[in-house]
Amino acid sequence: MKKRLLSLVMASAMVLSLAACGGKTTTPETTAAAGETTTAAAGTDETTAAAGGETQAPAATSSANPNAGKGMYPGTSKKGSISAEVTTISVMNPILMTYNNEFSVARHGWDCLVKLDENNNITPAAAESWETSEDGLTWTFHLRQGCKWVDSTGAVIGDVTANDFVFAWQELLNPDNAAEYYTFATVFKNAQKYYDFKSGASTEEVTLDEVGIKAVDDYTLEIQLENNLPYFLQYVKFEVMSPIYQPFYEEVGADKYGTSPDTLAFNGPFYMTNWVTESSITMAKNPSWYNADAVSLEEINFVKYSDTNTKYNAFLGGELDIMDVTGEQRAAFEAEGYDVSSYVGGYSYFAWMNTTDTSDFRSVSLRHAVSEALDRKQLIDTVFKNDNEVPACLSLGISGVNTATFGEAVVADNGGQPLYQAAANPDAAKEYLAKALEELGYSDASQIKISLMTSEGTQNELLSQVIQEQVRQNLGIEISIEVLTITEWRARRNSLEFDFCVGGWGPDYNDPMTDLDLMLSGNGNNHTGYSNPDYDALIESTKTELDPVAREKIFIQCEYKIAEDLPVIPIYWRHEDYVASEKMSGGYLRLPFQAYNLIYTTLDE
Amino acid sequence: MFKYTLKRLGYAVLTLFVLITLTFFMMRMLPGDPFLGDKTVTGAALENMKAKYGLDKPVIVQYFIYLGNCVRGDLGTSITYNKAVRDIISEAFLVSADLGIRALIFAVIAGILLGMVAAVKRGSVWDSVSMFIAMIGVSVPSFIMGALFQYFLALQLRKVLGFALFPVQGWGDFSKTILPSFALGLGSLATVSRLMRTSMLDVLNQDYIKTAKAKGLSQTKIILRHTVRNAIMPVLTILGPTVASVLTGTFVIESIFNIPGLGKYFVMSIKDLDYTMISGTTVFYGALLIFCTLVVDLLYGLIDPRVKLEG
Repeated sequence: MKKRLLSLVMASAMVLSLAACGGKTTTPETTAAAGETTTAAAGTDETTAAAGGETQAPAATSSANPNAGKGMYPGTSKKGSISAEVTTISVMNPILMTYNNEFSVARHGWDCLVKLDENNNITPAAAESWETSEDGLTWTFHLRQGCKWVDSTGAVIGDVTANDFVFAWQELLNPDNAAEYYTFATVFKNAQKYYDFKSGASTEEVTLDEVGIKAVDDYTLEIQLENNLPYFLQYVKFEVMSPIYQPFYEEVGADKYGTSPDTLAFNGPFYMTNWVTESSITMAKNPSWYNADAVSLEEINFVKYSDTNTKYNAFLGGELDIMDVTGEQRAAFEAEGYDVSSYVGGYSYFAWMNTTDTSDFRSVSLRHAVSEALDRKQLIDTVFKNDNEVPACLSLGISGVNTATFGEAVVADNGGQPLYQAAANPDAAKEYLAKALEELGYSDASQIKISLMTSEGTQNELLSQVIQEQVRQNLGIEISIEVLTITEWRARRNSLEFDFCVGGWGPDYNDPMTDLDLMLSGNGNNHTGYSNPDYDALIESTKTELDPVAREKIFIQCEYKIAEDLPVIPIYWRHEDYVASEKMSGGYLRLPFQAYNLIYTTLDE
Repeated sequence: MFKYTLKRLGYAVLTLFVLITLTFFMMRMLPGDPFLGDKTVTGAALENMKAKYGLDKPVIVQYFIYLGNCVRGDLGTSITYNKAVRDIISEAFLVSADLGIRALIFAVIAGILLGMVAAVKRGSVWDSVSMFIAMIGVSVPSFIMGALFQYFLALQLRKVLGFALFPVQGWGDFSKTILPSFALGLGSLATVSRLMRTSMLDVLNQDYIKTAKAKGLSQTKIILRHTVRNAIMPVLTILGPTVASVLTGTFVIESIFNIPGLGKYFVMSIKDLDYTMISGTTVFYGALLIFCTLVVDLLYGLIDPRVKLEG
């Protein structure tokens, strides 16, 4: 019996490897071609001609399931369907979305003008090709013809036209909708002025007609930008910029749009059939999607779990196919020989340092002293027990110009050294401390009073205790810990009523700007009080630098500046651990900006 | 009777009013605001968000608007979900109530039967079994019971049988409702069965039971017609508190079995400082409990005329 089982497993493994080979031989041409045309489009004024778009699913090799064929966790039993864990699915009107998991659902329901492929490169989606003017201020998108809108039953209700994008972005700019991410639409000419006027924040009258979004005809979209924006395609890729079918939206009403599946219309690879608030979303394959032939998945269930142990049991019990795991769960899976995968979501964690006069951290040397006192490796091993990395720089998850990541470019420029060390350096820390006492005018280190503001949660509190202990050991300073609810923590963080606190930052688009403009003077998200004209000038100069390599160099300078002034102390780069059931043989993506891309998941049934 | 009802009703409305007022002002005293996210919203965008949910007006004005809306049955729009609070609550409460009713039916029927058997077969194995179940039901909290059920009856049993008799989690099919209902009902089952046993024993020692026996009535008839009918009265009186305990117990059970009920909104809305959702859930739940107490109060009056109706 055992032998037969083994031979069965081997046979299926062989079939699988054959299938994988098949995937390899047929797809590279298409994907490579798409990659080339889009990079050309991003950098220059050439017209792209990705005629016809993809006809096949991207190569599944990069995301093959390491556990396929082990016979341990076969996954859910329903044919053609998978169940994926999500954390936040509060709103489903794309223009109102703010959470990563909401964007993930949106990625399956709607096609923006462009999207990201399996290497996070821009590739055509609703737009087939595009061109930009010499000065980079005018962009013309040519939409794919024959794309359809479907409702929550999958019935076709209309054609996707350029107006659907114009309308959606106008709604994004409509103050009545109070969309948090309206800022993404303010790159269009006059858009910010229009928003301010409509909000009553400005008296200068600007009408919608003056905003730089025009549908030239049904399939041509012309965009005027306020400034040259080298990463503009990253903006139109963002899920908040999904189109809206105007006749449907107006029939449903702005208040009701996106409150249930039947108040939504879709143009993506899947459409939503069911949504239980705060619990689950079911999406079915959209046969009217332009590349539906390449989609083998029939149904995706996105399920939220309120209890991490229940989630774990659900996976073990074959009721869940893909989920994130904790350090303990990871250890349990690995102990029984089931591989845990991990990906970088782009979240970089650091301590916000209050650099204003209200805190002792006004002394830059004291900030350096604390940074040198940190043993980041030990911290990661104690608190997370996973692949979290010692940060090489602040920014994470961003592609480099000539390197895979921007982080690698920083390290290469810095002579192969990361900007932040893994182990503590007590000697350097104490030297900085001596300087800090001078800067602060204190005679003794005991006069330094610093408190670490922490939000509730076992992991957060443990992290704070580790930092407290490391600073005590390596610097001889006693820091106090203050534990607050998350809302009070945020309120105090925003009003700079703290000494230091640990927070995270995830990128919105694939350009270092999304992380590095954080430290600009007066940025609403700069919770440090840091204001350095040199830094501001560096960021400003990236806006006029058209050469991508030179532009990246400026961002590297910004990273050096941060490491020198330490308005934030980078602590760790987060990795998300996850497991997939053996039912999902490959084709699924988990990347920065694509927390979930399950569109081309292949199944082993 | 009419005067009594009116007075009780008056108290109920007053309690609800105090509850709404206290909740409204207490949540406003919590530090922070609903628009505090990981990323900060400022300027005109923040003003627009506040205006959208009516938070741009003075708090006292907001209070009276809210009070007026409550009277009309409008609980406002949730800031987190951008949906009517009433819709969210009715969607989720149907699930919670479904679970609660299943647990209650299980607890009452099984509890009464168990109590009856234990009393009639006093001192037998049945009595010990019933005592044992009652001990467990009273002393082990439902969330531990739920976790144990999930691990042994869903996960491990599946390994033994090779198929899933009980799913680990979820809601919808009948098979998914069994474990959570049992876990939730067990505590009440224990209370009901012990009460039933004591009450049965009490009645069985009455003179009229002896008379019935002497008249030659069959054992079945004596128990069904004369004993149970009288013994069940005390059980009915604890139904009110039992309903309340089952309803509050659904929160943890919902979390363990991932059931899309109302419980999680209580915790999450406070964490998100979703004002409308906090007051919506509190007011709804408060009204429900007040209503239950009111019904029990009135039923007492109906069932037992010795309860002074002038109160």
